[in-house]
Amino acid sequence: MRLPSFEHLEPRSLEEALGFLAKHKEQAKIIAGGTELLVCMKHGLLAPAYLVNLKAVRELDFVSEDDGGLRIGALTRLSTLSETPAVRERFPVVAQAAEMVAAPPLQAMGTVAGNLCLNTRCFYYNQSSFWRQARGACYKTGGDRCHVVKGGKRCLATYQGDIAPALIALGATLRMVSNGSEREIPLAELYTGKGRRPLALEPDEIVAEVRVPAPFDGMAGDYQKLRLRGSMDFPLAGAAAVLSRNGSGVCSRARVALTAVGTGPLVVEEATQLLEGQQVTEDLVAQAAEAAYEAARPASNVGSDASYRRKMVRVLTRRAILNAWRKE
Amino acid sequence: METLTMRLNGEEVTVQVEADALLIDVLRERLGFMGTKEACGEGECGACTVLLDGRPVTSCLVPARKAHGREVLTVEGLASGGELHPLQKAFIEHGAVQCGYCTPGMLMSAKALLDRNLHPTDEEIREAISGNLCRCTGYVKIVEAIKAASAG
Ligand SMILES: Cc1cc2nc3c(=O)[nH]c(=O)nc-3n(C[C@H](O)[C@H](O)[C@H](O)COP(=O)(O)OP(=O)(O)OC[C@H]3O[C@@H](n4cnc5c(N)ncnc54)[C@H](O)[C@@H]3O)c2cc1C
Ligand code: FES
Ligand code: FES
Repeated sequence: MRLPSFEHLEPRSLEEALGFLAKHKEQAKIIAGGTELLVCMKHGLLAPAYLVNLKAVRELDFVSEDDGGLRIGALTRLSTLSETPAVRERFPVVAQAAEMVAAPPLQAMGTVAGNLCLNTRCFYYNQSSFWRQARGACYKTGGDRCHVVKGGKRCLATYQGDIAPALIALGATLRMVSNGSEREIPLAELYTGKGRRPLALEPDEIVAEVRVPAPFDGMAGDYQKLRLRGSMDFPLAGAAAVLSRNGSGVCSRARVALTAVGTGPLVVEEATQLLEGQQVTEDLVAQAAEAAYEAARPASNVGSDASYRRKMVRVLTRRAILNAWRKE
Repeated sequence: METLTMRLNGEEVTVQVEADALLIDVLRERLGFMGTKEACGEGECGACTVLLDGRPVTSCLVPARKAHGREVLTVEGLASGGELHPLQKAFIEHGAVQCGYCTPGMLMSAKALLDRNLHPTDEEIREAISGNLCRCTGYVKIVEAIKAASAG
């Protein structure tokens, strides 16, 4: 399959990369591992005139410990992430999620920022242009309708990244830079919740690093993923739970985040309210899982039927919370 | 056109490539290394797997320029001195090949595994080839072959 033609830019530093983006704006697209971008280009979903390849921007490729927390450079490969001792030992839920992304070759190519910045996906979108042409444009491709929900008023394309929920549950933030400015935002705020334009990322902005705060006392996490083939597939639903247990066996902090059941990753606030300050019992976990089920809004646009995926949110959330609680 | 210099199967190779060229096309069409197969072209099937600095990558999604200054190993680089690689022999002996289309990719994923882990468990073998689809042999014989080529 061929790619539409483009000009390949290979900046040697972050500054140079930002310069290219500032100059070419919407005409340019960042490429990191390329495992998502190139497929979209082959499908004719994107045809940027310039690709700004970050591969030589070494300053974005690092994992380091910082004040007990973690700094993960944007360009860190998923395979590196899951093999780094500091990640495996102190934030195992991140390694667990990274190891569930696709298969080894894609983990060796795919990067952390590329994963977080995945576009939303849909049966009717992630197809060749030949396939799509038969049905006409939908909201996501600039049209005026949704092919999934007849009469639907907005794009329901699904966010299917695997590592965002674990990082959100850990309280991660992103350092984003553009020419001359810089901001740090909670990772959850990267996601707009809009299927059509899922990321709050300016065209001249680069995600430089992910910062994970130091682990809370007695903290453990777990990630559960539903997919069609255990070997390799995007999640059809995913749930990450990170819980802390204090000295007297009470849950002092609880975060639950979902993926692949909406237009962006979803934080289940009710689970936090239910679990924090309590002894974690099976019954309480069932209530938190019910809250996740209520919050999930899957559409029948990826992998399998929405009602099944929604029911599985209950199961995955229950497992993730119990596993996290028992690990500690 | 851009210059691409890489070590391909142990030998330094330099070619001029278009900015939008993919590694698989350079290997097959420019350099005549037809061992690497393209099937899906979308990262799904693993038929196009080659090793880049020892790591398995799906060459249908690798911009050719990314291999610049790096080491690329394709299935043609497995045999040496007219002798098949132990993995290749094991695939033949265990009937792990039918149509053969997935085989080059399977071999490269298996090679990447054995280079890092001489004593893989069945589970680790399955994990290593989880990005490689086989439509005809099935996976049991392939896992057996890789196991046989390992140090046990
Ligand atoms: C067959 C297949 C299966 C897959 N399965 C899964 C799966 O199970 N789970 C999963 O989560 N993903 C999956 N993926 C998607 C993808 O491989 C991974 O998410 C990968 O981590 C993406 O990273 P990348 O570096 O290759 O991204 P790229 O393709 O390089 O980029 C993806 C997007 O992020 C943007 N981007 C990249 N880096 C930055 C940056 N530093 N700042 C701002 N924007 C940036 C790019 O412009 C692009 O829009 C799969 C892909 C394939 C082909
Ligand atoms: S052809 Fe590259 S993964 Fe299928
Ligand atoms: S031998 Fe035919 S696809 Fe595997």
